[in-house]
Amino acid sequence: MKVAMAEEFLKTRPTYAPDTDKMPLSPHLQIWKWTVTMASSILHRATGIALYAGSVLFTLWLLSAAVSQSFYNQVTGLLGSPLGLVVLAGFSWAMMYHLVNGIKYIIWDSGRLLEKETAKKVVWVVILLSFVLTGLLWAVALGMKG
Amino acid sequence: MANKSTKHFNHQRFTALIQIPLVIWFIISVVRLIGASWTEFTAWAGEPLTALLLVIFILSIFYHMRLGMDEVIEDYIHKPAARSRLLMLNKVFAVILGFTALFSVIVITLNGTH
Repeated sequence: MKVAMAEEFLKTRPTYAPDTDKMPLSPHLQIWKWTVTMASSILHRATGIALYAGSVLFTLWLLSAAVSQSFYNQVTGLLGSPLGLVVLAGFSWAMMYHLVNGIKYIIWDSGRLLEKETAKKVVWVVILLSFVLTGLLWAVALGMKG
Repeated sequence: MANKSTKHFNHQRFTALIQIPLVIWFIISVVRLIGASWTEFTAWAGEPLTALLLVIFILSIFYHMRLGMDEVIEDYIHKPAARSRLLMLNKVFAVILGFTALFSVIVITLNGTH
């Protein structure tokens, strides 16, 4: 039965089936001309992966406070060091980029602002906003600290 | 009703929307807490409203993070065995870390009462 079906398929399959040997390969990443929209998409993944790693620090921070005062002091000593603060600033920007760019995807998914030139402008707005909002949140927080 | 991919998509967007206000609150809180002593920190985390927001934040981000990493694994790992192992590892990582964070908030909250 199956053989008969296969033979039937071979007889009736379309003769315009593409000759795969002559088909162009889909360009690999290093062949693509870089565009801002592509870069912003890659950056969305990169920040997502960075934040995935950052969740270890977040958990460690909470856990240290639950475990003991001295453990908390050790962990926050590292996080509050100059290098730790740079890392913290980086993570806060990664969060804001991922957030603003995520909103961009929700807007694009609704079919809005997708026209080529508009889409490019939207990407620049996202990048700009991610830095501005990160700075703003730090300013607000430091202002509240007094 | 909805298939697996639709569910994945919906859950990812739903957690993302919840996180918009939570992330803003979280970043401001963390920056304010730079240099905070253990007493100050546990007093903050032990407040009912803070603890509640932390719990929602934790549930949402660890789930969102797992969904996102699932996509990366599915895009780049083509060997079925390696792929299913990594997907499992991703789930275990998110669950263990997420519950550790949740557990910590609960401990801090309970400690604050005495």
